[in-house]
Amino acid sequence: MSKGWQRIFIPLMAVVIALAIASVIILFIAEVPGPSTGNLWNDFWNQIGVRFSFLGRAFQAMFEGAFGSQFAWMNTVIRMTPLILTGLAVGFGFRAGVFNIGAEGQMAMGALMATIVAVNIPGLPMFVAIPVCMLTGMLAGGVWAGIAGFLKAKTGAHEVISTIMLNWIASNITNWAVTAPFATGSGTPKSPEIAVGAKLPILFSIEATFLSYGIIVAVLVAFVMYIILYKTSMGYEVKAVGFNPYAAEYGGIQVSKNLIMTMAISGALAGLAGTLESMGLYYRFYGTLTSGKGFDGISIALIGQNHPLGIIFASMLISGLRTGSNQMQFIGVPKHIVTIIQSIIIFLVAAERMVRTIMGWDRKKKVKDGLAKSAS
Amino acid sequence: MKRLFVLALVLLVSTVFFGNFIVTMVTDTGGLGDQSFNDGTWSGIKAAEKELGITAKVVQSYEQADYVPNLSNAAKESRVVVAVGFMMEDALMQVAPQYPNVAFVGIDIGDMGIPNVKTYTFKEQECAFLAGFLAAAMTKTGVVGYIGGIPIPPVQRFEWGYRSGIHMWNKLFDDDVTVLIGYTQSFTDSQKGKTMTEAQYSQGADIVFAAAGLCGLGTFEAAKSAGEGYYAIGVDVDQDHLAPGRILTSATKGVDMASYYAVKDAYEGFFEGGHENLGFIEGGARLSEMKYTRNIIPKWILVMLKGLEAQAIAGDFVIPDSEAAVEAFLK
Amino acid sequence: MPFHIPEPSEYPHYAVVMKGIVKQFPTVLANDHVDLYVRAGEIHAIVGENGAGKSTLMNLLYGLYTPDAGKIHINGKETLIKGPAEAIKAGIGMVHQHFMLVGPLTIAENIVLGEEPLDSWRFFDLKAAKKRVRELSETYGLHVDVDMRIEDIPVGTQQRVEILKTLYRGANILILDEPTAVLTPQEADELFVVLRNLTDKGKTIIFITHKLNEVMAISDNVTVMRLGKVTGRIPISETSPRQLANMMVGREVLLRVEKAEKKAGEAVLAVNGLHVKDNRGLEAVKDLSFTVHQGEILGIAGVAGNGQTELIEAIAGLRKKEKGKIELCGKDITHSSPRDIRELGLSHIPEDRYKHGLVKEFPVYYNILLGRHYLPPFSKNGFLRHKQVYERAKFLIKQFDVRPPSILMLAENLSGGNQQKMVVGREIDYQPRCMLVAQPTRGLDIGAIEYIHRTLIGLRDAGVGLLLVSMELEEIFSLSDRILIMFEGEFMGEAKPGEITLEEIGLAMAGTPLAEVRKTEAASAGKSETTRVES
Repeated sequence: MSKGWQRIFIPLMAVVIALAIASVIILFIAEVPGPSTGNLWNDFWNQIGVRFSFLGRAFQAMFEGAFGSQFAWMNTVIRMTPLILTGLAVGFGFRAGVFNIGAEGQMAMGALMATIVAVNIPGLPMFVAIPVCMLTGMLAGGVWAGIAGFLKAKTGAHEVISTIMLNWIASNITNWAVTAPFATGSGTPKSPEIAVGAKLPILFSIEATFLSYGIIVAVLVAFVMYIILYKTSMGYEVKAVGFNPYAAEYGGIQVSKNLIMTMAISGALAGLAGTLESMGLYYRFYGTLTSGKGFDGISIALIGQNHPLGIIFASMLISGLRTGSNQMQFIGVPKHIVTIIQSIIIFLVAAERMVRTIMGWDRKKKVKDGLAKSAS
Repeated sequence: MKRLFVLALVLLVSTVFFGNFIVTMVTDTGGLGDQSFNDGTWSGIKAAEKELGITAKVVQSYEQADYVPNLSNAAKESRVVVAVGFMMEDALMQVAPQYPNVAFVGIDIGDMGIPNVKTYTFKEQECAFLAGFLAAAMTKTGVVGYIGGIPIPPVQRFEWGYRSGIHMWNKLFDDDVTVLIGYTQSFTDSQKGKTMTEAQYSQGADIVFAAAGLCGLGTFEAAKSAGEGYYAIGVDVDQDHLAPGRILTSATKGVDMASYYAVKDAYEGFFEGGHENLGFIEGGARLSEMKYTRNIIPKWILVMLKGLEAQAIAGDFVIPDSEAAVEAFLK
Repeated sequence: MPFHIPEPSEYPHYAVVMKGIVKQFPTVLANDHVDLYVRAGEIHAIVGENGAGKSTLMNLLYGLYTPDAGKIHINGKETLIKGPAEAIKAGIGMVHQHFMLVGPLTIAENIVLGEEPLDSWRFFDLKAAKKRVRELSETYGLHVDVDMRIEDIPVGTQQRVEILKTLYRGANILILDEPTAVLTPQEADELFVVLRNLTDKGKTIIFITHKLNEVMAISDNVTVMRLGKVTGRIPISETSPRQLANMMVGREVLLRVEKAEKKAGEAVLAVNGLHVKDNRGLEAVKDLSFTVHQGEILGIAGVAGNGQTELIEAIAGLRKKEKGKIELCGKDITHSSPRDIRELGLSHIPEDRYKHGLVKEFPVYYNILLGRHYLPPFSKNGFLRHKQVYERAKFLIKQFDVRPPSILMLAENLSGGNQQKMVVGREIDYQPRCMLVAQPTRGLDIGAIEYIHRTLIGLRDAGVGLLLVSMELEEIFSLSDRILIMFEGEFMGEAKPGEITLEEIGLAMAGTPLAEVRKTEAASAGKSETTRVES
């Protein structure tokens, strides 16, 4: 099997294994009605029948909930939008050898700043307001991550620690903003609604659900990132620093400048994720706007193997899983089981090595190579 | 015309009696198992399910982005959709008008003016008032504590009532009980609830009232490990059994009652949009029965609590429901 | 008398007999039916290029791996060795290339570590430990100060400690893996004396190396390996370095590179009063000044860790300079970035190709791009021009004979020699005016060494100035036009390769200034002359 195929096959295999494990769980939790018929054999077959039909309905609900209708597709795509961007944020960092665990905070800061601007520019026409707000969000996220990059480059402070700390600061700043100076209305802590001109136009809508042009932006950004990584000198530098900073420095690449820039770009992507949520989905900032999507970026980057196109598919997988599994609740699979199934899939996909080992690819391949080498 | 009417009636009746009457509850991110708000609402719906033979379902949300799709999906296959929690307010506003034939019930959500939406809020200040009075009566240190989640109106109403209750005690008995106020900025982080409670204990408080969702579980933990002489006060539903003997009382809201009657009305065809604010009179705000702590509370205090409730109902005084009203009340 | 292959009945006279050993690794067949016969009480050398399977064979003997097939007889008895513990029990000890010592502990503590003598309270008995170690060291003539800490003693002494460690554990058969790689010539000579002492006391020694002069100097018999097979075994008295080299490589090799005398041109690299600190903040380069001219190779000889690494890194712009001035073709580059320095015409074959020289996760063509990824014709408006890169890479790997000739292969999948050829090819393709060359042939086999040496000479002849740092004296001698000897960050003297002996260089590498060495030599020579006259 060629390497390219393995890259696609491994995540798929992991999903299949995870679904198999999930099936076993669902088979066990199925509620089995019906009195005993007094015949053990019949009871046994009844049980099997009921449990498997429940399993079938559960998966049907999951699939239909994610991709089964236009409405389902829309929900899946709405969720994909921020996930693509946080996945790109973390993945781009991985490429440069930095672990940006702070996409969550960068996303929050980006969304908050973009919203503050968007609320205060009533009357500005769309073609000005939208770019201004997006750039604000990207700048805010970029600066927030850039702090961690700067600290790493200048003092060696590990970015995992500093971005986690920055997450807390961002979380407190945004919570404070929507409960005190920037609060409005009742219900969830939230900002006022953004100006009409800053709202992203709507692509489709069905009933109460609408999909904005945010998804187009996210996919375009993924293509841009692909081009940067694979077609430009800058991408070359980023990857060289990520794989071997010593060799990069030797090759005339400024490692610390590269680190700061990578972090800033990564943060800008996360900031854009938050900005699109505000401008295209909620039309305001919520205290709970990010709700873990920054952290989801980590698993998405892993599943997508840090490749921009892989990340698009990984986001679709995760978001399909989320929308679909919500639907499973309607037929009686409890929320926690749904969460467990999701976690198993992410775990298995991320634990690529494990799958490789189970499948024995590494060993076989090496032995084959070795024989070839010694024969020549 | 008459025929058409009869046909419509038959159709209606047949769907009511023979079709599957589905009620779906959609929770916020807190979800079931909070031993509080969501569980309380769900128990009301379950009671209705048992009594009326309808089908009850629950869908729990992971994140803000789930609210709209979950409410929409629920509306597609249910007759009644119950949205639980103030966090759903915006989503409910967005979804309900799209499904005019579905009855929407909002728990802890203010008036929306949409014909197919019935919302309920509660006079949290009323039960909190009694809790504050009781805490002030029972404290040995002269200091009591209050821990809120995110400072949103229902949580703030608990604070206002609690402070007023303490003040009432101080005024009647010329006492000087003070209160420590803290907010965890979360409804889910029970660890934060625990550390904040421990901090208040160490500052001299011996009774802490937690109006902070799951954070309250941390408060109960702290009360348990602090042991004799330290108490917590529960919130939303009767939480006394979560730490028997360590929870003085719970300031409960009638979420179960509201969801039960809303579903029952809808089933029987009496559903009507609008808003209700439930307090002492409706049974929408009260203290728990204090199963485990009754014996340590002097009888006369229990009698006074009853008396205060009666006076409030009678309109002898008004329990404040805003910061300004509290200021006025304290004077 | 050719090498005697013993019958099974003779095995009791042999300390080690390995018969038909096969070891398959995932990527390579490391040992292919290898036989080894080591007589009790001899020094037996195993020679071969890197990757010939010498170390694998010894690791099998020491129980670090288990063979896929084959039998091992220790002192005539067939023995199954499943791990180092069993090897030690069978009387086998191994001194690895990288020492396994604990820096902050004393010599005595290190030696007894894991098998400490205990007192009646079952506590560690330091006194008894010291006594045992002293006894051992006297018995075998391995003199050490038992109270010194490992981190304070020189490498040669650390090696003795490793040998003592194996003796303490009762080893009768000692395996030494490339023992002289880290030693000065003098230290190596001392080691050989120690080894002779040990065999006199009845120990058997197996000695792995790829340095033929050492084999000739010390061993009794030699087994030559190539590509996992034994290609020859011969008593040392009946062979020559040339014959051994041919057995190792499988063809005739040139041990010395031919080079024409050449007149050096104008200065390309001038270093003046340079001071550089190492990673620990200690001064590693102390006030060095020298000049490299067009068309010359200036060699720096010295034992590893005497400031050569820091010197090269400082010139390349990879390390901060404390004081001094560096000029490249007349331009001050003291504080320039690596990129600017490269652009001025300095290229660099780094000492550690894995760390600096290549990105092992990148394919070959990306590695060839390193350092020029932003320059035309490989980059235009910030975009890479893959077509140009491919073409250049294809040309270079053909010209420099990188195998397999696939530009898409990941660098990590190339063998060491081919990686080095790739790096050398890239650095030459810069068309530099000056080149830093550090350890250009480390870990390479003789074929690759020969090729790289010829290439470097070619550069010199084309007028490039080269600064060569190498731990291999042979290499310094055969390539350099001038030699500087470095010790603890300072130069001990300068010489031309024809005008200095190996002994003189060795003494200078150990810290005696060359002038003094020559003075003493002259004095003693004078003395001996006088003696002669008197008698």
